[in-house]
Amino acid sequence: MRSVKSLIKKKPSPHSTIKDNTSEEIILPEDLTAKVKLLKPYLTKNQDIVSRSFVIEGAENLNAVVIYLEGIIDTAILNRDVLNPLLLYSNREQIENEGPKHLIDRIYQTSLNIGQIKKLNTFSDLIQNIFDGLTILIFDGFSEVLALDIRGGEIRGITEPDTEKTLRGPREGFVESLIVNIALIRRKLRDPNLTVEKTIIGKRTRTDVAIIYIQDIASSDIVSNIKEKLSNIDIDGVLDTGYIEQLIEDNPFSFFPQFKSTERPDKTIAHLLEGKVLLMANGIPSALIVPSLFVQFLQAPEDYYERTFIGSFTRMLRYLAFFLAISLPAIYVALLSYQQQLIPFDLIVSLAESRKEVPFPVAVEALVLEIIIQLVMETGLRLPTSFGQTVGVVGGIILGQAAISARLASPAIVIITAVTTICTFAMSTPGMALSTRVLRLPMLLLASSFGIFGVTFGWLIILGHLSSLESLGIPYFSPFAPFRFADLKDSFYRTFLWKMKKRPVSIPSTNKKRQGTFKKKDNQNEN
Amino acid sequence: MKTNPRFTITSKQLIFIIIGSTIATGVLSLPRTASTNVGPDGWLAVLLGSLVPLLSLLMIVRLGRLFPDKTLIEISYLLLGKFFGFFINIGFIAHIVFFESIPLRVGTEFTSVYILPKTPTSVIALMIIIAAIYVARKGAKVIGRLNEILFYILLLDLLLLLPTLKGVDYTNILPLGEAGFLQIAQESLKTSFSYGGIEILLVIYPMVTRKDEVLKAGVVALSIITCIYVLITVVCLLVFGSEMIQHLIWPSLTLLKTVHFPVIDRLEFFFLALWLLMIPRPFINLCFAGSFSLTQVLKLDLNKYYPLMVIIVGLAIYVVALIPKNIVEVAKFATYGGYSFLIIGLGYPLLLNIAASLQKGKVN
Repeated sequence: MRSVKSLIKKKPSPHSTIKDNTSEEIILPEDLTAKVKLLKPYLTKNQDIVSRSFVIEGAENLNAVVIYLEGIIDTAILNRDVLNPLLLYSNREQIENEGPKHLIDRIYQTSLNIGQIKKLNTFSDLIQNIFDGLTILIFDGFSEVLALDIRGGEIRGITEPDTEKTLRGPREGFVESLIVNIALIRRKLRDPNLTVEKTIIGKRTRTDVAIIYIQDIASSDIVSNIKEKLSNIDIDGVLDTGYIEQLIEDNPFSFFPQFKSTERPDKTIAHLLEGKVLLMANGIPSALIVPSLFVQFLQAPEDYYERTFIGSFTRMLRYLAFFLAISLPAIYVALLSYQQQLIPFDLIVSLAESRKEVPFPVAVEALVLEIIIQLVMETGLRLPTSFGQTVGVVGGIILGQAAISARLASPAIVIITAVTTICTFAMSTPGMALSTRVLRLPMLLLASSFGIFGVTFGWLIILGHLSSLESLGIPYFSPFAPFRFADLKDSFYRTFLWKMKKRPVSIPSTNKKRQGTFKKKDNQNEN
Repeated sequence: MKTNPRFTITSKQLIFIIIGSTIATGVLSLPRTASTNVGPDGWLAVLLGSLVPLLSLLMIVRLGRLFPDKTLIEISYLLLGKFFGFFINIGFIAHIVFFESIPLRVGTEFTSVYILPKTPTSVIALMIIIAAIYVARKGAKVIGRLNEILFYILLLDLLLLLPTLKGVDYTNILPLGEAGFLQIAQESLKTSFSYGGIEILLVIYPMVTRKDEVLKAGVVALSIITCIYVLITVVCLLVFGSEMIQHLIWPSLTLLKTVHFPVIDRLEFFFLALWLLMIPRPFINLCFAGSFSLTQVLKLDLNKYYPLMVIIVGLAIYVVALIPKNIVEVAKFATYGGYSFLIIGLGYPLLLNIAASLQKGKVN
């Protein structure tokens, strides 16, 4: 945690960066060979930098060099739209008709079929742009160089995200390219107010990070707050939005995820419409929803796509699952070791019967089984699918059955552990599932030493903690605490879509009205 | 007091904080204490007792209107001078420590009786106080939120009382007013003890964002509290009758023993499991008020030293709670606590109001 804090603090980094190697303000020389000479150390060191010299013909040939990183750019575009026009169809006089001073401007006005071009004239910019993956055109006699954005290369196809499958709804998921991801959102949300701002985070990875929001819905306070927090980040690399999440979250000392992350474009749009802001980074197939509330972690797309009653029912199931996933083993242990009188007589007889030959106290039994099942979960996570199933069968069925026959565990505790595990996976977000997995253990310990009192005590701490959490200044446990009646319509149940006339109050937004009055007509009379 | 985002509450949260500070373990024994002398008219005494906190509320609000952004500590220094002000303030903090040690002890006692008979009471009390300290450290805003959600859980909990209504005998509270008005009024002074907690407003008044709603919030809170108290007392009286109630330590819990369900054998246990959430609530609130005041008395930096003060006040409550040897002594302590509430809840605002009126020209 300490390291995270120190990263957020802005201070000059002691590590050398590319910029520090040379003094920053070297203006590029006009001579081509001088420029190439400056680049020489990088060219010889990195064999994947391609530099190819060519000439633009004319009475006096114009020497030029194109430099790019192999594999990062789209070579077909380079050949077709850059080299082809310059080599075959251009000639110096034709381009130069406004005098040699404007040659550079004329080249990109007349002879390049590329959308994104910028001019650079310092050495550090040049180096940086090469490594950002831009294609550089260097000409003889000018200190300015052109940087063309023709980045391409292979990207994974758009598929349904494995972690967020739905029964109903779109089947597309984000991929590893930021541009494609933004396009996925834009395709579905054609609002001109949808704003995409980009910034770069990570001294060395130089990851493009996009801040996406709907300008006339999202609160400008939140947007500027996010921008400020992002600009304070001083880290060498960003490999997942998880890095950003940890660097900007308000409470690092918490088991609960404070920002929701999703791989589904339809989910992100739903959140954009509620006034939230998305953070997406290049190379990461998920978006971070800022700010997020506790209730969001128990929501799933089907809650909205299916009819209200079905949606509300599954929503309530998930709340039940959240409660059970944290406290079921604890309640079982508490009842069995402290409050036996609460269990109906017939049940306690059969429980006692099954536990007769188990040599451990019920708390130990539960703890051991809990740890085993956590290990099974962890193992199954990283194995190839075929092995993963084997682990599931061996861990779940064979191990459980063997433990019962060997009289190491009672059937009841195996059932309890299994139900708890199922409840864990009923959570619609992996982040919340992980939290419940962790919280279960202290709860179990509390229950084994204080019975039901310990369980209640644990829940009091959890409730207090949840009420204290804030996600970017927004109370995390709203609409429960602070209690917001208007937002209960989309909490443990979901009301009818046409009744959600206002955006949630919990998320500050500049435009509260979501939809007009839509009278549901009674169509039955017409038949 | 400068506005500190950690120490602001909305007027809605004020309602829940007042409720949370007031409703504690007292309600479990209230039906018994209320009907000791006046019998079937105990509930009238409870109803009448609510006038005391109402009076206290009116006086505190009047004081607050004069000094909208000052806590008790600052006001008493301002009006009574350094010397007397100091004593008043120390008295206030001592009251909080003493007054809150009682529900802590009572809560510990019935946890011990009903749930954990073998665990030492000192350990149970420590657990409760740790939870209270954990939440109180987070400041007024979080306390306000927690009180809100706990109030709704409390309502849920009170629903469990519904099935007990089937054993009602309405003749148990008849004839109405048999004990005579004077007797009931006298008794209501005793029932007013269970309304202790309103004095938290002395400290949190300046933290409320909308001062014009404080009075309304206070009245709403008191009405809710009175409703709950009167309802529980009436139901207990209806079910047991005033004679039998005297033999029950916690009539409200015994009430739940009168009904049985097929699978859930012991309803009072479920009530208790949820009620356990309510036990630390008053100390959370008053521990916060006490440590906030202590920080101000010692003139320390709020952001830096407040969490430390919470631990000090919390542990002080814990130590005082362990002093009574048994439940009989706790009852004696509770009576002292009640008088201490009358002094702080009525005496302080009265004193300060008089002082403010006398010095009106001088201060402003």
